[in-house]
Amino acid sequence: MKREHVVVTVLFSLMAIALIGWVAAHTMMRGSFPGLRYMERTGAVAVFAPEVAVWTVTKDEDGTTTRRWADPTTGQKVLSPLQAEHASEAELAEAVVRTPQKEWSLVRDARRGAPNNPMVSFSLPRTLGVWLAALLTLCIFSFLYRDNPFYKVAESFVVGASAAYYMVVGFWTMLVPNLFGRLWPEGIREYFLPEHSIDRDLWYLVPLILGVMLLWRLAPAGAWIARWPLAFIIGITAGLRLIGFLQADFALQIQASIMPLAVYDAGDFSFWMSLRNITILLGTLACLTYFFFSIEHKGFVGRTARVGIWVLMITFGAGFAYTVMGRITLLTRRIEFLFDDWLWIIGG
Amino acid sequence: MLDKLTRLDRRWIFLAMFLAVAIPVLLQPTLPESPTPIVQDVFDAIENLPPNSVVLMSLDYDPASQPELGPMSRAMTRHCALLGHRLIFMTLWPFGGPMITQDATNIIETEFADTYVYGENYLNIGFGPGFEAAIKLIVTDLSKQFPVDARLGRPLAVFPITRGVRNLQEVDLVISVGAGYPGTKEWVQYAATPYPDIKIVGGVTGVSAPYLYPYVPGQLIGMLPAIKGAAEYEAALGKAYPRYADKQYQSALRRMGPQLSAHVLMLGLIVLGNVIFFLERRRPRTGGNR
Repeated sequence: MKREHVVVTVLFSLMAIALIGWVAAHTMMRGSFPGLRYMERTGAVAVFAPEVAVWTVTKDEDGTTTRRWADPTTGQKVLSPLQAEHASEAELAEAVVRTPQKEWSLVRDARRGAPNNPMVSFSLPRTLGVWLAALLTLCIFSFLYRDNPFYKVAESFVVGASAAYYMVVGFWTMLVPNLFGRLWPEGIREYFLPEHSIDRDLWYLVPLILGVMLLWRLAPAGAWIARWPLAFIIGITAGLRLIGFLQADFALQIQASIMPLAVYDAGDFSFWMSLRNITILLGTLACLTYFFFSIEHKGFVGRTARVGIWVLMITFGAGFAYTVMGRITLLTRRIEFLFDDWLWIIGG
Repeated sequence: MLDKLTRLDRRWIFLAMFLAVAIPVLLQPTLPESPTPIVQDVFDAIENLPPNSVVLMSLDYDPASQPELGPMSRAMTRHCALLGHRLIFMTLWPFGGPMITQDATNIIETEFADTYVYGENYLNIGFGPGFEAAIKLIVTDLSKQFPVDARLGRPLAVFPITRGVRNLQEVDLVISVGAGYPGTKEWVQYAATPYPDIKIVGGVTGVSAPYLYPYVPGQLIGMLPAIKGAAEYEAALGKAYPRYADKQYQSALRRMGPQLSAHVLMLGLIVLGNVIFFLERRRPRTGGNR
């Protein structure tokens, strides 16, 4: 066995022993096993049709605002069955319980199950979710040692789940309400969105036809048909982006670089603001000189172009440093997840 | 020793980086932060809005950028809700829907449940496909791009919050929290630039921050660059509203400890790498000049 393998094996064994020890100690001392998820119900949200109940707002003397559903005809407070579960006896006495259109309970994570708290319950889906997420995180981290099947499996999970999610979101947020909802509003109202009230708009046949043409490239023959909608997309995108860059990045950035070289703040000369403005102006001119290839970069032009390279290098350095900061943040969050959400090491 | 260092297995560096991040995560040191002018401008833009203003928050990121951008979304959502502004949430990223739930609506429904009602004080209009074309569309008509809301599937017009808000030009402030394309740059190009009355503040990832600085303060009022910007914003919020000075509301500030130790390690490694490089160059070569 190679020496590095021995070192890594010992290291991982020590980490595994520490982990098992931690779990055992936690379970014995606190009576709960890290990694299990408990949920605490904190309230309920119900959506009633406007004609059944509307929100009423009452303001107490101390300024706190309370919102309750109330029947618009009688003024009587309305609670959903789920809200009724959470309500006090006094609240129930003066309210009527009705079934809402939609209802869900508000929950928050609870560190451990409390036998005396009926609002806290064990959550199997969340427990499985946390364990799956933790194991997948470790699988991805294992690539740092070397490529391995665990990493490949986790990577495939990400790709597959992302593709499926993208398709589902596209279907429900774009195709259903925005395309079919405008071409066939009655059907969408009947089967998908009961409150959909948008009028038919046959102009949306154009994107439907273009979409079908785009999918034609999957057919064994006639792949050229997909070129027409592609040409349309490229043309529209090019036009949009050209205008966007011309206005925001060309015209207005020229305007933004026209600034006073001697800055006076309330009549007093501001050295640092003046230095800042001069640096911006000279840096911009130097960079532009570097990208000006119609004159050979010799003499004064060459020296200016060299300053331009330095300015560009500083920009790339700042970009790289910011990127490092972002990547460290990602690692921090993953470690927070493992230590806090999964193992409960932080904050007990 | 020098030979050992030149042949050092990179996995030791990975381990050192893991420890440099993991130890501060466990110890949770608190570092002082104060807002820089570019962050303070964002804070002031929200703070100085008239009461009951309409704020559109576009959370254009996915789980890969959530550790960086989530804290700033949460802090700005809290800030707007504290001031009683009406909030409309949207995203230009297909994976942005869960981000809206986790970093915005969950906060409203737990911390501001007594005062915020869905449809009246806040609304989730969800994912708007089409990249920059989506922005171009909602600048003139919100319901063209978003015929229904994301939670209940109801037309936007039935919600009280949308009364008097037909398009982006009737929104008092746009908050773009973006991880890339489409994101803050597209909001600047297709909303703030052609329509200077549309006021935009940004929150961006570290990768994109250097390329968005030129837009401040002309086309962007202010910007939160990376986790540092989020930490500064949390510090400003905690100072103005002591209720939010508690550690549980300051996830970005908590992440600055690991940043410090990881950066110190990186600087040390860069210096060490250069020292080894120059020592290697000065060392007489063996086995050459035959």
